Amino acid sequence: MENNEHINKLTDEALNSLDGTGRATPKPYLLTRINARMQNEKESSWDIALKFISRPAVALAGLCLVIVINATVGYKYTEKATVVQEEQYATVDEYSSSATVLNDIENIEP
Amino acid sequence: MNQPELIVQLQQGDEQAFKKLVDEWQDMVYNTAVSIVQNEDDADDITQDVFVQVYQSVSSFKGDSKFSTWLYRIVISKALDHVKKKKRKKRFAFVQSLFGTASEEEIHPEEFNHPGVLMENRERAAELFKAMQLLPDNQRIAFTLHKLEAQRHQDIAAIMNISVTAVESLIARAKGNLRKTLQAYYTKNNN
Repeated sequence: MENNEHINKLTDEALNSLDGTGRATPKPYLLTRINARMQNEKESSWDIALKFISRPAVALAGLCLVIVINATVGYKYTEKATVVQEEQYATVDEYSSSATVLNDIENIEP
Repeated sequence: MNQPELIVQLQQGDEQAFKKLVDEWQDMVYNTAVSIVQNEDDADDITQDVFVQVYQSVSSFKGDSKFSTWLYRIVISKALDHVKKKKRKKRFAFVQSLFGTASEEEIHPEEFNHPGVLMENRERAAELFKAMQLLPDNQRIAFTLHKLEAQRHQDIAAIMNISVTAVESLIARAKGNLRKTLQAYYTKNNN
């Protein structure tokens, strides 16, 4: 019984121990430290960018993107080249046929 | 210079206004942080972080709430993030301790003595702070703002974005839980 009372007394004392507590204050020159931190953050923005780029996932994604762009450009170029080649063949056919005709005209046997 | 003027000047990037803001609010920011994280060096780091964030994001402050409410929210959010990180670290240290690689300080951190506590209350307050670590976040914040920042229930309600009744309930539950923890501690250590 007496022990319980003692425990309750200690508990109450602990619960009330923050009464009259003052505010804790930071170490001096806080503004200087804040300014230094802001300066460091500004300087390190390039570091952050470099770190981001050198991440394996980002580097791999960049490499994949380059390959995809390369493949797309290559495919489009091949497609275009085929169309041009077909047009060239058509022109050649046309001229050769007309040449034949001209040849025929020029080589008319007497 | 009144507060709205100070905010406008801050939003324009005035360094003198920022200096004034730090002078005016540093104790409040530090005291709240140290009461939550219970470590002076960590609280100092958080205080710097808070002011850097204020400087960078003051343009987003629209004045819908009081400036102090906005500032308290930033401090609390950063302090709670820090506590969570520390808990994760502690769990990792515990796993490391099984392999014998963790330091003693990581597993059993030092007792915290709030610098503002009266000398005669230091020992009891240290036990109370230890018990506060076991409270859920919302009870801990409400109790801390009430006891260590002497905030009114209405202001705590605005900071935590809840009703005044909810704040009263949180504080009552926090006191109940603290009493249980302390009673268990004193019963164990009294025999």
